[in-house]
Amino acid sequence: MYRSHILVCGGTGCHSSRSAEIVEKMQEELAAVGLTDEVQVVQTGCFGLCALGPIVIVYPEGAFYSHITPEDVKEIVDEHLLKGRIVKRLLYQETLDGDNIKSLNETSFYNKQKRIALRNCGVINPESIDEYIGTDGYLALAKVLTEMTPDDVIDVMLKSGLRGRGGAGFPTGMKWNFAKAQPKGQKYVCCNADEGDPGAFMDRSILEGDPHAVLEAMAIAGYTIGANQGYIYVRAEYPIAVKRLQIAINQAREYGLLGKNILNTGFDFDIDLRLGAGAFVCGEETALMTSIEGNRGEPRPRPPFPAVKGLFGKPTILNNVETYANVPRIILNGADWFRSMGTEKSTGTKVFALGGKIKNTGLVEVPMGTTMREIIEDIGGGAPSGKKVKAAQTGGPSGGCIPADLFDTPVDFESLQAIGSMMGSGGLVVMDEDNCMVDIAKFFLDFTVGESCGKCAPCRIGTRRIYEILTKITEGEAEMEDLDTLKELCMHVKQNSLCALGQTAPNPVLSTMQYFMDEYIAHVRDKKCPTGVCQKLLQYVIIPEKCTGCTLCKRNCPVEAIDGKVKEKHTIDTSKCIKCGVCMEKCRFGAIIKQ
Amino acid sequence: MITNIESLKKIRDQFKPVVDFRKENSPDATKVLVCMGTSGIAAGAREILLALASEVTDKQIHNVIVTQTGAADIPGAEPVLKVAKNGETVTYVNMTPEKALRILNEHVVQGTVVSEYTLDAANAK
Ligand SMILES: Cc1cc2nc3c(=O)[nH]c(=O)nc-3n(C[C@H](O)[C@H](O)[C@H](O)COP(=O)(O)O)c2cc1C
Repeated sequence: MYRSHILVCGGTGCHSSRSAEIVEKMQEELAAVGLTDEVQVVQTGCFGLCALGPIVIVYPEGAFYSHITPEDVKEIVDEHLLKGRIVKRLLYQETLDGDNIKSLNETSFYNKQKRIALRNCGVINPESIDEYIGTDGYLALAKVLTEMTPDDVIDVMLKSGLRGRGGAGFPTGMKWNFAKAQPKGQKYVCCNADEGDPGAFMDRSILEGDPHAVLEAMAIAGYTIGANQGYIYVRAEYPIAVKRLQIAINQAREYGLLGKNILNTGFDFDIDLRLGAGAFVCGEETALMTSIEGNRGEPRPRPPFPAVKGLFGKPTILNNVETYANVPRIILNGADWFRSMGTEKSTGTKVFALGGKIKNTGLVEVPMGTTMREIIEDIGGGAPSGKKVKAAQTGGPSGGCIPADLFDTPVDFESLQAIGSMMGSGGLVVMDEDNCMVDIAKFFLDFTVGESCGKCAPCRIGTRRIYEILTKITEGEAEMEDLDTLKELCMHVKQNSLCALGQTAPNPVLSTMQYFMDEYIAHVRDKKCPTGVCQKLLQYVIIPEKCTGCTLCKRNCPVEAIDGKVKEKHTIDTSKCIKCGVCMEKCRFGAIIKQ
Repeated sequence: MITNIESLKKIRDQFKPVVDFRKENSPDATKVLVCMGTSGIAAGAREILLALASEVTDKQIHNVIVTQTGAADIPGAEPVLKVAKNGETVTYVNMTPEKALRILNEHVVQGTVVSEYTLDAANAK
């Protein structure tokens, strides 16, 4: 029995800002004051508010300490744990309410959230199967094995309305049903933990914070479709997730919750990890399976669909990490409970990874149908600079940019598609007035050009041509006709690519052209980048009225592009200028501007 | 090795209190505060805190937070215990683990203030 628990976030973000050291130091300091037997230190998964990391929460008070360094640990132990005085200076200020501390659920970041997939992240020790069981873990598997037929499970999954969280939103129950309907024999259950979207980190956080939930769900899926082997395809760049998954698999085997004759029901199921090398295309289902088979990760045409002919040519289901994380709760709490959240066609919740120009960078889980505005402004806190948010990109490289005037759109599968974007895996990158939308489109195309596997020509060549036109535009060398060519090319790549990588790659271009055509035109016709991002279209100039002739800019210019004598007006030779911006940064009189 | 639901549930029952301990407290939870200034600790506040904390866990008493607070600043009254319930705070003085457990049972759980141990009673003497 411990009278107090100290939870230290061990997610990737906090980990890289020394949370492991904090845990160590915490134990040392507790030992120094003789509290080791009274206070438990737990390394958990992600709490979600990554912007404030490293985070430490002390229960029973629920004191939420933010930006903790190993140097702060002694104060927390001596003051809070020993003497009972909460260290106010280290508290997340929003939880401070006079002399009291507010519960996290009352803060703007958490109060609109509903944590189902993330329910155990930041609560349990992910390396303890006992703590997972303490949250009713593996009871869903037990229920399925002892009380339900595979058809019962499919029935619940269908009724729940759960749709795949990996991108396409395909109904999970339907997918399982297809695989179940195949003749008995070798079948497989796979988990997609490739998470290649730049800016998405929800799957990683679930694996790091609650790995057993995924294992349990895969076993349930195995029982349902008649498979006895599962594979988790996880990228090797997620070392903490890989480590905790392996620990979880070992623990589950030791307890007999994976392996032969689980819970004495005659059901056998085991899971192995397969590490991916980090190619985006390997997240595509057929490429993923090809990669598990030991071949080069390239997609193949569908049909046949994996449910019929998947891994090693056998019926296979593949689901996303977050999809699986919902399954045990649906089994335990029922389809109606799940349906009570979200919208009619998009039930339940969705996890979003907030990034870009946003104050509360981190992970949030909200009921489907919450508006973009609530997520970005209320939960995310808007742009940190106080600047105006201009757009948000959902769906990563396959998604689109949504302009701020459409932020009242509810986030669900249909609504996002209707405005030219998509749910994708849930990355949400926020852009403010300083972002150039052409440049953003170019960024995503740069990504897809590099990640295209090269198997089909529309994607391999088409994405590169799109990228080249975008480059021309950002360098002021494009003509108005190029915009038409660009659009046509985008449609062509969309319609003719082999897999969804190419089919969706033009989306960032098409959506920015749809909503921010004025920015494209400014680049092409006026040879101007309205936000001043595109270097080639910029000029640094000195405003004569403001220049005092202090020579500071001249002395700092690395290419001697500035001319002028002491106390005389200076000028910039634009033919020599490399647009590094040092002069503007150094000028103390605001006399240098870019235009 | 877990071979049936019963043994799975046994582990669940053992660890449920552990994970529940980390749930966000509801604002209407009763707070039992042990004053842990230097003099309080010297007078035995730690033992009281531990006795209360294990009782709450063992008996699975819900919606109660046993925690500590700073020095009470009441000379000669340590160890001091405060119970904050329904917006009212009662201060108890010269605590022992036995007295504290009685307060937990009678005041916190059943709702009757144990008047003989309160600060008011001590002052009246
Ligand atoms: C290029 C590309 C990359 C993908 N990357 C992922 C990924 O990283 N994770 C994921 O779950 N699904 C990814 N998908 C979607 C998968 O093909 C598949 O639809 C999904 O894993 C199915 O699981 P779900 O039904 O649970 O969403 C990707 C698709 C494409 C075309």
